[in-house]
Amino acid sequence: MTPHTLRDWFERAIEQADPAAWLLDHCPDPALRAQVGRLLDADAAGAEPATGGAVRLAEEIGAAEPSAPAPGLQVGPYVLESLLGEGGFARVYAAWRDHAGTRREVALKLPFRSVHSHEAQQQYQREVRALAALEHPNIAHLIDAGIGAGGQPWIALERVRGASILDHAREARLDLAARLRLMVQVCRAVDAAHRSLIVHRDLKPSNVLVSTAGQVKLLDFGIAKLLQPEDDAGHTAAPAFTPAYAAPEQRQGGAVTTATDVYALGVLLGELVTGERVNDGSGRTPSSRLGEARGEARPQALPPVARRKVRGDLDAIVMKAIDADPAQRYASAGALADDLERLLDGHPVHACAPTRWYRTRKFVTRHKGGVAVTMAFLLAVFAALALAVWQAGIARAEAERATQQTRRATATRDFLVSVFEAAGPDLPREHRPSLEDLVDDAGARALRDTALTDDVRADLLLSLAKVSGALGDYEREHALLDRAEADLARLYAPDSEPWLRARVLRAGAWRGQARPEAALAVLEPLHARFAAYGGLGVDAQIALAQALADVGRGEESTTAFETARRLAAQLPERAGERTLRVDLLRSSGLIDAQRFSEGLAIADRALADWKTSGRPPDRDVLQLLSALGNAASIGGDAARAEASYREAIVLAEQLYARPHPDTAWAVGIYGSFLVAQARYAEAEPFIERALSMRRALLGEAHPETLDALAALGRLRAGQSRREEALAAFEQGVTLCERERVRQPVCPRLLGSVSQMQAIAGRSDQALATAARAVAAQRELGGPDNPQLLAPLGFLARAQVKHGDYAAALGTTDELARIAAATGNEDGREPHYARFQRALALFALGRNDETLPLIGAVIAAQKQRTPNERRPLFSMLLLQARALARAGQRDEARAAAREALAIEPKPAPLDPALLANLQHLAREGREH
Amino acid sequence: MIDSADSTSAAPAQDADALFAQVYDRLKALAGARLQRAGPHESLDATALVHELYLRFGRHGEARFEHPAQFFAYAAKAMRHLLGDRARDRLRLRAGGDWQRITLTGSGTELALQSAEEAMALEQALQKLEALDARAARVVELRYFAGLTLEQTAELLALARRTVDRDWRFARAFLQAEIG
Repeated sequence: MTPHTLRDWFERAIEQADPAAWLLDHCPDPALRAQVGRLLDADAAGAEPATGGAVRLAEEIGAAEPSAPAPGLQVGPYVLESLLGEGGFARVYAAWRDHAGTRREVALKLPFRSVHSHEAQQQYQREVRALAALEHPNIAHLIDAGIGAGGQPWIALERVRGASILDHAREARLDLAARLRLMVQVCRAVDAAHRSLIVHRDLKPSNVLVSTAGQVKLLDFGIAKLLQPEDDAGHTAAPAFTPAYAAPEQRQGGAVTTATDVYALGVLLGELVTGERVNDGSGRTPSSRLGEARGEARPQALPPVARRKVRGDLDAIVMKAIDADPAQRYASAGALADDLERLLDGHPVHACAPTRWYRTRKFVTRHKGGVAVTMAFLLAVFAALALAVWQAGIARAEAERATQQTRRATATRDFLVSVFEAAGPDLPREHRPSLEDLVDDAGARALRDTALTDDVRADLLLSLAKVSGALGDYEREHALLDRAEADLARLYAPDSEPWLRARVLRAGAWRGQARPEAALAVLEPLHARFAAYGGLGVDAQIALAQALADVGRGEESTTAFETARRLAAQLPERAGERTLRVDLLRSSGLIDAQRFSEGLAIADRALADWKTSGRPPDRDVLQLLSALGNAASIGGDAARAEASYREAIVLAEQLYARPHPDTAWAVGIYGSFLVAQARYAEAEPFIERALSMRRALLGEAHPETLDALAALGRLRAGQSRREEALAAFEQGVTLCERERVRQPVCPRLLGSVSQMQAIAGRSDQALATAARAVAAQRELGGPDNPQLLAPLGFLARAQVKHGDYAAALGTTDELARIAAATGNEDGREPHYARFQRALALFALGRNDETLPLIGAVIAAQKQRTPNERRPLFSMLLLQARALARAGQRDEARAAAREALAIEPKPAPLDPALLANLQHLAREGREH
Repeated sequence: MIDSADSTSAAPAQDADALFAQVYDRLKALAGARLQRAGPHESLDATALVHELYLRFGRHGEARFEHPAQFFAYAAKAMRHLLGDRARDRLRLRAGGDWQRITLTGSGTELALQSAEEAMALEQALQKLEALDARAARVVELRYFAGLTLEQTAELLALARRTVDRDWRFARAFLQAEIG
């Protein structure tokens, strides 16, 4: 039994008399061998890591007592001036820097936490960037931040000179209305930050200043999160907040959301009005705290505040804001501000259940003069109202058309904001809902929300379907489209724009599920009308062109792409962007179809256009990069291929925060490239990551998952782990057959199985399987398809192995013909086919033809993949034998020696052949 | 073969978290008090500490452990965290090196930093080992952090002594190779 785990290897090795030698003989993987070797060395040394265990280490480390950095020290570009304050999580210094000759003053925060790991630093930088992007006149700006030597973070913030809102209100002796107006400003600023998905987390009077210029300034927005120490797993170890102003859920370690800030705003409002913190657990209303009977002086309370002014609405507002249940609070800080403004204007506030009496009372207060009305006056009012309603009826039809767009846009935006607010943007990462959860939740909300009109709802469902598609979740996309189409059929004519949008999305979903024929069934009947739909028509035309390419109707696809480009160029707006998109997609399509020279030409142009256009990276560019990498790799330009693949992975990781089929694709294709380069150790993590991502995202029988399985097989084969390789390929073939997958990967898998059978010496099986592979590919892609190159290559190999040399020559002839017809002469398959041909020619005794051919093959091999030494060995062997047969003994000797220099003890070679080779190297002729 | 996970996972997960938190807090408090009383240069006996903690838990009925193995598993984990926290704290001090260099000098500091790095390296290596061979990692935990002998560890985990010896040999070589 071959050991499997590191431990198995270790334990088997230590049983041996000479573990190192045993390892060299039995463990083919050099990386693993080195790892086991290190264990053996450590074991032999008998040393113990961290001798003395935890006790000694704990003692030596001692207790850490941070001491304050002194003024005058340089931190990042800033010089510390004086300590402004110290909290539980950070110190704040007044600091300055020389900025273009002027002294720029900042408040510099030095958190006690340090940020060590690469991941933590990236996370930190992301958060800093998000905060730096937050600009609002009432929010102190984050100017700059960094991580110093040893992981010490620093944060430079706009320095605000002013007093806390409570002190300011007291000193300026502000009346109730002025105080409420201040709070409105505070709430609006908080709301603006929430809309950028930033939660303050630590709102309290000392963070809400009124500057000497009289402007409200919120300090430390989102900074609390940066101060929280995190453990290695990214869990928050000790949340930074101020207990007195913290919402119940925050104190209990629950989810911190925008509602948490609303709570703190409520406490602040209560304190601003009453001078007391209203969340003391007593449940008392603000007005009850202003009882005239209470004699003690409370300096921060309103000077002559009238209790009756606070009772009622203001009580209700505060109590609603500080409700223990986040869902019962104001939905946003903006809603709290709205209510405060209503209160200031004397309108009914939403904090109360609006009873008819309550509304009437408000009406009366607002129109004190008009309350003494007579019956007659009331009747006159009703008459006027009736007239207005009638007139409005006429105007409505016009007005509605004009406002409909605005209304829909507003409703959609409000809805999306509500979804994101419900999403808890600040939940710890592992509790944060995934985008998929959000789409689900939003879909359910859209169906439930009675405030939405049918057209807005249909709009939303289409958008959510599109998001699902972009996430690669096509099942969900279909489900959402089903629901949307029910509404659309009722609302719109069957050739309306929303209806076409739904059709295009549907086609995209089918393509995503590798069912291009279903996509074509949706689009083909409509294509004559695409031109009438502007940008949407271009998208539809592109989808059609892609689906045509998918099903192998290449000429029609080309025409369709040209039509798409023409339509895009005619668009009144963003024509450049659209034509670029057509080019990008067309070139990747061509490259995928292995029409490299055409595809590369368009791709180069499109990529250059993209780079000059300043368009941000997107899926299309990603796809193009991967396709370019493929084209370069197959065309033999390894350096260009590698650069494209790496660029694609970086781009994919920028584009998608979560696992995504596109990321899996970029990762997998690079892994396959590395395997082809025989860089197995580097390839392994990429191959494994791509496979597990695809299994999770797409299911095990998806063509891309099968591709990943095939890549794993190739990796294992390269690592000489042949049984695992065969198992991977056979698993793929089984899945193809069981799930009736009709995709190019299936013949390829068959070809690989054949290859492994050949290597295992089962040449009968190998031949039969290779023939199956060729037949399957012919059936799938027709006779002159470049996809036939690979199975034909396997067949040629199997025929050579089996001794069918004449048949092998026929196969390599056909392969060469297809390669020439499709512009693939320089590819990998024709290259190896030439080697097989040389082998067959040699075996048939056609030595004159063998010699020039094998010479060319060897030159090409050295230039293409200098790392791939095993094939080169076999090629040199053939050359040596052919030279010897031709009597060129010196040359034969040189070739044989070169082969032996590559692999002095080639493991899979039969001993007689080796002896022959050694003989050749000495004598320049065979036995 | 009975893995001690059987005994520790008998309680529902939530209880287990709470229990762990309790053990950790108590251990931290106890260790802190000990260190203060003992002064900076006297030694702190982890084994005694863990055992004392065990007795205290038993006496006050603060937390119920189904089996001593469960307690020691928690205690070892708690010690491990304690050490990790402390090492991080110490390295953080150095992290502020730009302005700390003057206040923190002398061989004591060097040693402290070295040991903190050693502790962090140990922690990282142990995490790798956990992913590779959870049982071997547990043996290390009990030995290093709860101060148990291999014999006691075998008894506690209800494993044959031979098995624990093998676990230890592999773990030791692995950790040593990782830490270098």
